[in-house]
Amino acid sequence: MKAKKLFATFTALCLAAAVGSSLCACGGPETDAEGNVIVTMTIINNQNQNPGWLAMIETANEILKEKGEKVRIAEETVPTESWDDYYMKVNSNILGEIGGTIGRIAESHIPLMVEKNQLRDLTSLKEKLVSEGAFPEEVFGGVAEKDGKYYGIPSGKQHMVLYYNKTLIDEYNAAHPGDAIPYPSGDWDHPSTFAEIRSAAKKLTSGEGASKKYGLSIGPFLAYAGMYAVNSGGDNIFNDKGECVIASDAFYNVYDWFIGMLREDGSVPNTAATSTLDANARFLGGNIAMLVDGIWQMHDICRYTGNYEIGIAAIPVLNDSYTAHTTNFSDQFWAARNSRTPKEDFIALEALMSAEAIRAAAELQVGGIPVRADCVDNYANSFANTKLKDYADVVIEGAKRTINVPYSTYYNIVDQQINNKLTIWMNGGMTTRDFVDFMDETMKKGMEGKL
Amino acid sequence: MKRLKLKRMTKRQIVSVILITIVVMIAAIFCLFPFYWMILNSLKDPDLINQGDTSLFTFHLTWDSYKAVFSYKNGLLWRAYLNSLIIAVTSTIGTLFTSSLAAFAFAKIRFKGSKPIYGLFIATLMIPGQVTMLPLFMIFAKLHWTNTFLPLIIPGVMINTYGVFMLRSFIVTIPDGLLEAADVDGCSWFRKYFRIVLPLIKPALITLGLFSFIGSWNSYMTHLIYLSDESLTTIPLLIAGLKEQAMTGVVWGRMMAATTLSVVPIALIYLSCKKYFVQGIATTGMK
Amino acid sequence: MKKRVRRRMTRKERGENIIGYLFIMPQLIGFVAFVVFPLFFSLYLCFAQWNMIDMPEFVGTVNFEAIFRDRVFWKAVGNTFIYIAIVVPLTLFSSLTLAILTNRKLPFMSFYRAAFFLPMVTSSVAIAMVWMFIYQPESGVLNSILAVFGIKNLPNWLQDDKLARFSVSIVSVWLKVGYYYIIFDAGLKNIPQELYEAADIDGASPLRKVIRITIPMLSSVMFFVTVMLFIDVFGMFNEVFIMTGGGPDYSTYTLSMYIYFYAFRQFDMGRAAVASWVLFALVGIVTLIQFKVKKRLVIE
Repeated sequence: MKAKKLFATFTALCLAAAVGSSLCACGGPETDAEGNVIVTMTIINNQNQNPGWLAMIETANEILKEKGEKVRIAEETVPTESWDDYYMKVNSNILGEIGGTIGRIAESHIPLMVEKNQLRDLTSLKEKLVSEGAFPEEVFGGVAEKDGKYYGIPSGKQHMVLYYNKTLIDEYNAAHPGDAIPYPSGDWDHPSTFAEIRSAAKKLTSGEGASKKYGLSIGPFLAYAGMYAVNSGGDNIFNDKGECVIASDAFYNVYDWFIGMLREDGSVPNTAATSTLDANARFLGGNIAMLVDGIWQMHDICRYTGNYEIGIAAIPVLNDSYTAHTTNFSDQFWAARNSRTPKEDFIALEALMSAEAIRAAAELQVGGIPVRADCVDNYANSFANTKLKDYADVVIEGAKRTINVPYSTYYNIVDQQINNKLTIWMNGGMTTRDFVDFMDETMKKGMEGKL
Repeated sequence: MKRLKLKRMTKRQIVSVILITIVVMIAAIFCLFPFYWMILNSLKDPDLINQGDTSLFTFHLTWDSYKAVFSYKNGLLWRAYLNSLIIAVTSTIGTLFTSSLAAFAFAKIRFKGSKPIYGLFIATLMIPGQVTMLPLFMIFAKLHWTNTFLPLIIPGVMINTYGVFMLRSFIVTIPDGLLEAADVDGCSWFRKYFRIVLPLIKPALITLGLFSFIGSWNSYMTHLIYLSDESLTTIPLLIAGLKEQAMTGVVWGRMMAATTLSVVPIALIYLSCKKYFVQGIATTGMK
Repeated sequence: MKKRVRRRMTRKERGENIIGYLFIMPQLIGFVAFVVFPLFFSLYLCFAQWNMIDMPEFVGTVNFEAIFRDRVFWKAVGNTFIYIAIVVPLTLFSSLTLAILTNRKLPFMSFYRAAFFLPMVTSSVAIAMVWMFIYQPESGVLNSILAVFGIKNLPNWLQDDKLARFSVSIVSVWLKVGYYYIIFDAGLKNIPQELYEAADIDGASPLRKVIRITIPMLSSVMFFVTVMLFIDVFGMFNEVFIMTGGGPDYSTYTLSMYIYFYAFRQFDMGRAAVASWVLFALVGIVTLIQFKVKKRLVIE
């Protein structure tokens, strides 16, 4: 009899757990003590940027309070630093109708989310923002647009720049008076050339083994390669007719430049070196003299603690006849299609897109250069009390010369396959020509849906 | 004459024992070295590791790495321990209960359809988890069970064909006479199950329990798929997360301290119940 | 009278029927909900495209065409066979050898056994991390040991596309040896001692005894072990996922990772379902071969 009871209890418990958990997810919207509807916003765990996003949410909540809206935003940080893992979690939360109903994601994942019908149509919000004159029309669209509908709202533009350690260059110049290295140029119309950067990187490389110092860190990824190709007269992966033109001289040149520094000069850390310590951390630790990276690192870099000075320069070009372009990455804010609080999601997003909220992030150099015209100055001025105060102009100027990565539903697979081959090429397993041809071929296969 | 031969044999035996000892010793060292290296580096000065020190017997030992693990994200490790324990214990107890019930029914209760249903159960033993993984994900998402422990506990509790198979093979060997004797006393089936069968198959239950506990403690893919909240993190997720810290690179000392802490409870359980493990695995091989 | 007896029997039988179903109910529900239904659903998914929010859409053989055209898929299948070619013989050989060698009285016996068993009970995620650390190209202990022996071109164990598979396989073997050691050990204990004694009288050498007595007598166990190993290797995920993530150039990629990637990164459930059925088919074929060939090869 005891067993029978036990069995009954166990079954009842199981059922109760199942029903209970299903019910609490199915119940009405979550509210706080004051009766405000809680809208949860999902963000990726990035220690470098989180202070900015949290400040943005806090400010948005203040605005909601002022306006008397019965909505509050709560943040939910997904404990991962990789966008792929983050997307997986976001996706499973959307399917399970739990977690954040709004959020932020890298634009690379937007096409897939749109295709999978996971995102709410935000066209009306976009129209409202544009009609208020706050957001210029042209910042919308791109990956977030499908059939005239808009599924994402960008808050800022983030592009690539060249960070350099002034002190390391000064030290080299003091030791080699006849062979001085000029600082990389911060003038986007007259940037440094590939050859200049390569020779500087070579000179700044010293040491062996674990204590080796590198001249330059540069990601030879497809998303970054487009800007170098444009900077040497080529196209950004696709030409005007939409044909894939990776297999062209511009890309061959760029990748020759990469591999020359990596293998011949040894001035760029290989994958083995960066697997033990991330390039960014190495740069901030004075282990790498120059770093091509996005302005999403700005919050960290503005607050570096090392005993050296950092400068910011434009992306290099092939030769004097070209001006510098840089790749733009815009994060998008989205709302889940199956949210049970669609109205509240809209209100929350609108508050997040208010000048005050965007300023809160911009003042911490997070979120890139605001697309709201009335916030750009705040971003620029925020540099004034940091160690990089002289370089705000270089950063702002770069935002005017951006190109976009042609993200699509197949781009991630293409990118993954290319990154897998990348190791082979970097370790000398294939020629640059073969590697670039492989990229071209993979992209074409992706376009045809043959991956 | 006979004595001499015996003596020669012994000499040869001594040589072969020495040779075998050497070979087996090398194998044992190969098996144990990663554990040694893990523990040594968890105690090594993290600065030494960063400098690429790989000497096999340095003993500048500190607790720094352990302190770093315990303070990682405000003591997330304890949380992970607790979560892993909750999942492992509930799923183990649950699976023991349901599979022993079913095994008893298949072995001793004559009911219509017993044989075909059992046949079906056994037929699905070979189905790889990857096949059912996708629909299960959908089911649990629709039930709003993602980001809870339920998807990690319930399937294991509700279906364990291997457990049923194993326990049944033990229960079948219980003589019918024992149960019939209980029949005379007017024992109900539940009482028979609880009073007679369960005590008799205790060793098998312990073995199955150990396997399911360890399986649950060590499983990774399902945790990766279903859990996203930091407060729900488990030991494997915590360890994988330590590796992912892009900004700092892998802090190997801290990582080794975390892996040591995750391996130790299992190793202790195992060492204290070695007998049941060996029994359980050995019988699998005989079937 | 007769009727009454029969009726009582039926009532008892009916009782047993109800009790029986009551006893298997939890497992039966689980079986239908978590095995049978998912099985058919995933079969349907093979022919469907599904965004997981709306209803799945039947698309015919599109998923099959996509997968069979995919270079990476074939690479994953190929890798699976390479893993089998490395892991199965190595594990079989080492666990059998160790079992035969320790099938006698030796000093420190319980130490050896504990040492062999320990790897199999530890978490593969944790231990993959330890191996990653050992395999580090610049600060790894393996390379520093090799350097002591004067080897100049130190290999990059996990980032060289020719070596990575092998490095991962070693970890896999290391994880499995203990388990199969126990099975072989139990098998050896079941071989009648008289057979060896008879061979001793004939003056057979130890090697001859192994070939003539041990291996034939263990053939059934060896068969079982081989099949288990095949199935183990088909499902390889944790070690690879942690150590190499499938790279470089997919040289360590496994079918399980392919399924995981398409299911939970791309959310292309149709393609993942096809891949999972390919895996299922491989397991099925191996099991089938076991049943067919066992009768011929195995001495019972």
